[in-house]
Amino acid sequence: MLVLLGLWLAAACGPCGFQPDPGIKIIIPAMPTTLDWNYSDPASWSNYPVMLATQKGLTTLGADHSVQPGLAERWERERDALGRERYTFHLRQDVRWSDGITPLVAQDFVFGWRRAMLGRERGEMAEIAGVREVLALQERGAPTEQVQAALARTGVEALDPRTLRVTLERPRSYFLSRLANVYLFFPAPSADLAGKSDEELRDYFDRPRDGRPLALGPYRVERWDRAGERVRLVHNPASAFQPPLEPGERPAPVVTLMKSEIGSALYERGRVDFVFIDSALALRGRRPEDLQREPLLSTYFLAFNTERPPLDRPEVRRAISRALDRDALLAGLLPEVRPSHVLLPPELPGSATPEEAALLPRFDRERARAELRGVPGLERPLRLVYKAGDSFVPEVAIAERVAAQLAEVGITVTLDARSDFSAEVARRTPEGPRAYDLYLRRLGADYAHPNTFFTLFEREGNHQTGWEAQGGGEPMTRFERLLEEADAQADAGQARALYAQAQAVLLEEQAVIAPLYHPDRYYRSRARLRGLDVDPFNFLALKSLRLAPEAGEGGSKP
Amino acid sequence: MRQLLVRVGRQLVLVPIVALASYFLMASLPLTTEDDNKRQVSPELAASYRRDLGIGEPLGFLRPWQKLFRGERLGTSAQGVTGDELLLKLSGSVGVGLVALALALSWAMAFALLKNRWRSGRLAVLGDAVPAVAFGTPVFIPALLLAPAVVERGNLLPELTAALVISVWPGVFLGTLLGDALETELARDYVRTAASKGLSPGVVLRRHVLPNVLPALLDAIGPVATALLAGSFAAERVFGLPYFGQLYVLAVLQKQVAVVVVATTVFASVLVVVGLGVEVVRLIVDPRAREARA
Amino acid sequence: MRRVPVQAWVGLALLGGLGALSLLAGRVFPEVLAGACPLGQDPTRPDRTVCELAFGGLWISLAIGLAAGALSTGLGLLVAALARMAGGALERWVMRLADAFFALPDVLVVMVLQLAGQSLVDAGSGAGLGPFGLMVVSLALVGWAGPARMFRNRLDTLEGQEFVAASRALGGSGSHVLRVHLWPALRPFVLAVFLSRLPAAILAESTVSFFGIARMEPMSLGRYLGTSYAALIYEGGSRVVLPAWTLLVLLVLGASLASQALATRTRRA
Repeated sequence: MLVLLGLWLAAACGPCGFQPDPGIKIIIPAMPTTLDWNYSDPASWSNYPVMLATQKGLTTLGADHSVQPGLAERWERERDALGRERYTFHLRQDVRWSDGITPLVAQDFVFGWRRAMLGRERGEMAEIAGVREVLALQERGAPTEQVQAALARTGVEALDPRTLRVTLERPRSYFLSRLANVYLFFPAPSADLAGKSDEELRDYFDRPRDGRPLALGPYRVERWDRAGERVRLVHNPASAFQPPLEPGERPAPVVTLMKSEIGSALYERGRVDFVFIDSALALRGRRPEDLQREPLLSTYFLAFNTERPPLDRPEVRRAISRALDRDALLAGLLPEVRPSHVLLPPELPGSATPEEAALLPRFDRERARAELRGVPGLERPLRLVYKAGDSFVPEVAIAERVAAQLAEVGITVTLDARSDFSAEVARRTPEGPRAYDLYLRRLGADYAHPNTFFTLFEREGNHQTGWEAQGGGEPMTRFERLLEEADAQADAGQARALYAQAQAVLLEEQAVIAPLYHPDRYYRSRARLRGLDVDPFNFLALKSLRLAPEAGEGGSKP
Repeated sequence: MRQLLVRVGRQLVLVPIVALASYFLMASLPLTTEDDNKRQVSPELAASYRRDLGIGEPLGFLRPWQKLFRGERLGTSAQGVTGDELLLKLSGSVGVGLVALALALSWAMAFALLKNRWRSGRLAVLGDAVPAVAFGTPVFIPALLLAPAVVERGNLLPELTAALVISVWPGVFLGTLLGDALETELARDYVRTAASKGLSPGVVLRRHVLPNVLPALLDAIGPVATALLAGSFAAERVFGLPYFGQLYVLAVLQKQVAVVVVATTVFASVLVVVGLGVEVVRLIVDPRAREARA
Repeated sequence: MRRVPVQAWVGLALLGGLGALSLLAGRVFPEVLAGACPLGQDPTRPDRTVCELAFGGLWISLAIGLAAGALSTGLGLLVAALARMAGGALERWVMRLADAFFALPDVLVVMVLQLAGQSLVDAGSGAGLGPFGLMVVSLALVGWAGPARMFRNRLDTLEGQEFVAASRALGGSGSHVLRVHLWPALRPFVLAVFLSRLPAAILAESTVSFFGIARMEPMSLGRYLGTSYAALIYEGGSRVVLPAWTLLVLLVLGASLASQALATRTRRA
């Protein structure tokens, strides 16, 4: 009977008969939320490893974070009559999509970027001329034709198949470095996509099959098993961006990104080749020899809902920021920590000087207690929302300690761990304001420029704190003006001073957030995998992955 | 014959009940407010919800099925599923479940015989403790203990281990029932008669006792199948098996309501199929059922 | 009154002991466990000890089990009594519905109900239910079917007995028969059914929490096991998981011992 059952099982399960995935196996902490790089998703960080391995931007970043040519071999930058900044990109001639036939054309950018202007991270496109109108129309729920007409007026044009012109509403010094990393700006294969409905477009990206979606990078997505939580990438021989091979090295033919609850146990047993080490228990035990630490350009912070009393008053928020002892919040949680009360990490070029940083709210419990004494509305327990599930940020411990530290200054905090974190933070009560009081979140740089830390808190940003309405909107206007001046400033010293002022508006004057620390990332990787690492942006970088020559070293796969 | 049909009908009615109940529960959820400010889910998810459940249409509850049979996708592009994916996942889960059922039956036999042997001795307390420990241990604990040894090994090792892990409690449960039935049967006269004729205990057990115990066993298969199904959720998640239980958990976590409706109904159908299978087996092996038919 | 079996006493004592222990350790003197726990701190919540979290979880799990068990037993009894009094086609259909409910795994239905309940709560129409209330209600909604079926069958048997028929013949009304004759005979059975629902509810909650679907705060035993299960694969992780696991097993052991012993007694009665 057992034999019969076994046969039946084999027959029923022939195609799926679950075998270990071939190739290099990499444990990632979260599955992508979508593979549709232009339409994207607010939880975009989990999509980056796949996007950066399969696609390419107009520019790339060098090892020193300087801007290098990418899909564009050169460009011109000029001011037009209206004071707007105009880029003319000349595309490389030899770039083909992964079918080996379709050439990359300027129309691919126009198509992709227009979709991005309608997508879930459309706020990120706002600096392109005419996009604010598109955003406003969508906000109002205007008819499709109107939105389409506004899209056609935006500052992205294909002058000819090889030339792309992009007009920004104002000069932006960081725009070229954004193009390298932010995947919303990657091109879409318009020849494949033209004439498809919205739903068909989404399926094209999210349901890989028959070599689609086309890719430009060294890999393309072959399979996405949602229930199995695996993404299989295969090498794209047609790519113009092959990993730099040294003698004897070869590109990895297949790479499987997978999620597993027991990743590090699998690594120990040689069954996977790369794993992030996020568990507190693993980090506090005996340190394995191949454990590596990458300090991230990133900040973990506590945000306030500025629309709900008692947090609608800046002095209350500032006092709470002063009530938090950052060193104690993180003590003993990780091998090394960088507690902080500033938004811009000190090692970031253009961050605030120590003197400027000293003026921002920092731990001073007695002062916090005095400032909070007698403040009406503090009797109500405040709800602190944070992301449920595993994270390399010890969120549970930090949340519990935040609650304990605020209890010492007389504030009750209830904790709410949510798997639908971003939806929960955006959710509004029937009365109007958003439903949360406090949330914890990590902000990571997308490129090495102060601007990347501020975009989240701009009017169109996804900060959900409601601070655009504070003080009648004047502080936000001032904040955005400071940033604009800084972004347009050619002199680095002056730009730095302006960014420092913007940071002071955000952290001190309005106290919209209270920064807590700058996180690091720990991981383990096999020696035979070369060029596989995590960059300061917390992106798993596959683009220069190659295999060392076989030298009898066992490894998990032949 | 009529009685058989009634029994079959009673089983089958479960499918439409579950289909309708899950549909109307999901369709009444406040996930699709037009008002952006009150919306709790992304616009894409809300759109897929309206589209897939046919909200506001007179025969809306047929819509998920219509889409399924046409091969269209249920849910959002990034997290939804199509009918053939669903079938593929189901075949995996059913395979694991069948192996687990076979294992559970063998555990049951073993445990029943052991319990019978323990009954009089000092080990009698084990007869109560083993079921409690098996019942009190959520499936995910043994699964996690075994997972590092088998995950990513292939050769059906994760599947078989999953089957092993989920079969323990149902097996012990079945064994308890079987043990009670055995006790009753072994005390009967015909056993003593058979034994006094000089038949060996094994032969007595096989030829005389087991056929009489079988109906009790068949009655318990339904609940056991239910327990196996419940265990498969946790086991598939821990062993990284991309099958139906895992698909279901993810659909709930990601609020893919149309997938939840369809998958819940499919689960009910699987249980009904098991129930029908039990009826057929009963008809073959149990003379009392045959007599009732005649 | 016949003698209550030893096993039932052992089971009830175990349950009572665990309840008292969790009340004392988790509620009344939490600082004792916070100060002196031989197993040390929890890795994800380094400000709490493993014992503190395990006993705190035991308290919550017991509360959930008791509330959900009582609610579902009461619901089942009500449905069975109403169905029995109505009789006829209505009774058959209600019982059919109960069978349908009973056929699906608890975990599956609780998952669906949690999805529905959380959406309602998020939309501000959850009738003031927190995660705890939501879990109790979902478990009760899942758990009524089994008891309803058992009570109906039991009532059926009892009503067939002579003293009931005699009372009916003497002109006793339905409610009189129920109150005076059936209820006393049913009482131990109700307790047995309740005790059998207790571990079922606790386990269903723990599995659902393991998936991260329920948001129990403070954590139940199941949620604690669910959030720290990853510790199992690390060296020294067993000290985190073992206490909670042991408490869960003891809880289930107590409840099932008592319920089985009581049910056997009433069956033989």
